[in-house]
Amino acid sequence: MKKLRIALPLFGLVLLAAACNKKADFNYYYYEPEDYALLTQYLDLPETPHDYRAELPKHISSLGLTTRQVDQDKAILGRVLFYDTKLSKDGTISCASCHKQELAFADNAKVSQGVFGRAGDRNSIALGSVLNFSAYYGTDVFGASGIPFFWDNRAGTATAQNIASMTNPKEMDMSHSDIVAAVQAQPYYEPLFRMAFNSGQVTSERVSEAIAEFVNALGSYKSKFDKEAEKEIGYQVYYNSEYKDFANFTTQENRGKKIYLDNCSSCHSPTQSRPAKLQANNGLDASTTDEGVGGVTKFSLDMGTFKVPLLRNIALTAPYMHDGRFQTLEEVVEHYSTGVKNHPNLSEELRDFNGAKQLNLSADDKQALVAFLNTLTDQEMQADVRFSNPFK
Amino acid sequence: MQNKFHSAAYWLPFLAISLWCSSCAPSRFYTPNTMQVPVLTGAREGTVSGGISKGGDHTGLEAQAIYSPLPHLGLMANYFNVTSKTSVLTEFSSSFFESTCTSKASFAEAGLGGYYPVGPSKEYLLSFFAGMGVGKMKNSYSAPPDPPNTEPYVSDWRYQRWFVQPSLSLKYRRFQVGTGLRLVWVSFLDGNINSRMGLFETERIQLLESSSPMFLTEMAWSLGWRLNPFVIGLNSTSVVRGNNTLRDLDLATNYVSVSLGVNLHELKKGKK
Repeated sequence: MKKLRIALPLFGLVLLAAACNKKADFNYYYYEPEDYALLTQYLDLPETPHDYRAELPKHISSLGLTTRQVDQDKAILGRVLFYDTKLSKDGTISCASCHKQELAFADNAKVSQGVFGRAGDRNSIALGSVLNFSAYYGTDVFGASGIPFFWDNRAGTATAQNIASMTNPKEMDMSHSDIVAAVQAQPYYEPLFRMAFNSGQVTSERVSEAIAEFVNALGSYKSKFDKEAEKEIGYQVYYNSEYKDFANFTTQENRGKKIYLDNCSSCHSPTQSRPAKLQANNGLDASTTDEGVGGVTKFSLDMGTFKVPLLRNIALTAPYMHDGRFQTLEEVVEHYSTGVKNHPNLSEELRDFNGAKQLNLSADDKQALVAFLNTLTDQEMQADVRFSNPFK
Repeated sequence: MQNKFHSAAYWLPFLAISLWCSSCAPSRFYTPNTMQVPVLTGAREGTVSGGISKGGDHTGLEAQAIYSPLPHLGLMANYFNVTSKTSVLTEFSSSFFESTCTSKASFAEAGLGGYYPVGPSKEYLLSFFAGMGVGKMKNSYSAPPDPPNTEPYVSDWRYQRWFVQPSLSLKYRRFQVGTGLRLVWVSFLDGNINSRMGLFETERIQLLESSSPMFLTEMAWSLGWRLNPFVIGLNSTSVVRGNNTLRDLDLATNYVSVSLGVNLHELKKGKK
């Protein structure tokens, strides 16, 4: 009995020591092993997929802007399609050729180059100029169809925009059947389509839908401006709190912010959430050189008007304007300061009693405005592996 | 005392509370087995029993045995096999849907311990057992309806559990009651998790993994009606979950079983 009294507690202690040493080792997998083995021959996809959920900061969510749910599998497929040059006639151009991640998904060419060296018509729009694609183009205050695409707003949906770009002879120059054939020829698409659509069947609509899903996941809301705005404005966006100086902004940046709010935000949004206007003429030329939205609608009041872009990551998206005429932000600011032309459809915001309104900014004001625009750069997005090229 | 034991009104509240508590929480990730409270009085005594059980959403079968080869020394073995079908609100590709999760768990353990009868007529029994067991759990989640005909997503893992349990039991005429405290360390070993089941569920399993080894305190009571050589038992084991992290996990809080046991020594006596 004595031996038992000693042995049992000892036995308990040994068990306790043994129990505490165990560490779990779970293997998380998303793809079936044989699918993953095939995919990783061509693609650098993590075993556990990236999380494409977006969480908007307070100064954005308080406006009622919410992200649309992104289909994970379609986004994974869409990412591959977005970067695949085989989806172009000469096998050299992908969506990413004109929408480069390191440039906030814009292009640094005046007009982008398509297949066989063909020049496009207009400057590539930065996909990373919006805070979150699905919030911006999904269901929001602008209606169920969202904000239209292209500089001339000719595409109503992201899928329509994708198809238009893929079939544009100056961009990828593919027919619908070309797209299907190009995708079917690559072995890595079968498992990705099966996972996204539960069948390996490839259609151009599915290709477009998947690319749209990936693009919908793009989000850029971690700029210096956003970090400060979340802290300083938070949920008080309706109380002009954006005018408050931001604690971590320099004096110059805060001055630039005030100039921006007074002169630019009525079109480009005070909090970089959504544009206040869908289209405008900003006085680049005195007469219409490019019909823009008017070329689509044929309305005289739309002639020479173009999409009003948001300015997120603007420092990365040069050259500027629909035709890429300005190489630097300084040139853009100078245009609004002294160069606005009195176009017949010039936006009201850029008019005064004398016709075209010039801001006549001082040199310090111009520098301050550029300094503020530089705070809109989200470095995290440019390095976000979720949006990067998956090809090995 | 006898009258109280014979009264259904005395038993029923325990039964009702146990059954009610056993439905309190989902139990996809862990469910305790019935704590075996020894009722031994000497060497070469033993009991084997089988029963049906319910813990959280799990229902299943249990088998238990205890034997004393030497005075004051006991060996015990427990086994259970449970299944459940629950509705899990999860999220797949960022859309919410109700998935049906079918879980299967089996667990076997063995313990060694000592016991010591006390009281004027040695009617009380103090015991202390410790042991170890291994188990496996498999959860199959139905895929979302769109796209249709997709295979369920499976997560499975193995775990081991170490325990120490002091307990006290009482034999009184045809009845026996017991209560015990079981301190367990649950270590999850290896597992394969198909994270296509949804991020929420995957994150919960990641939480489970990071919480390993989990320390849980379990309390049990049992009531037995002896109809020599048989014992009809009603048992309840409750998990007292510790910190908030453990509360966020899907662990069953209560486990009840109804068992039919055979006292081997009584059976032997009867044959003689």
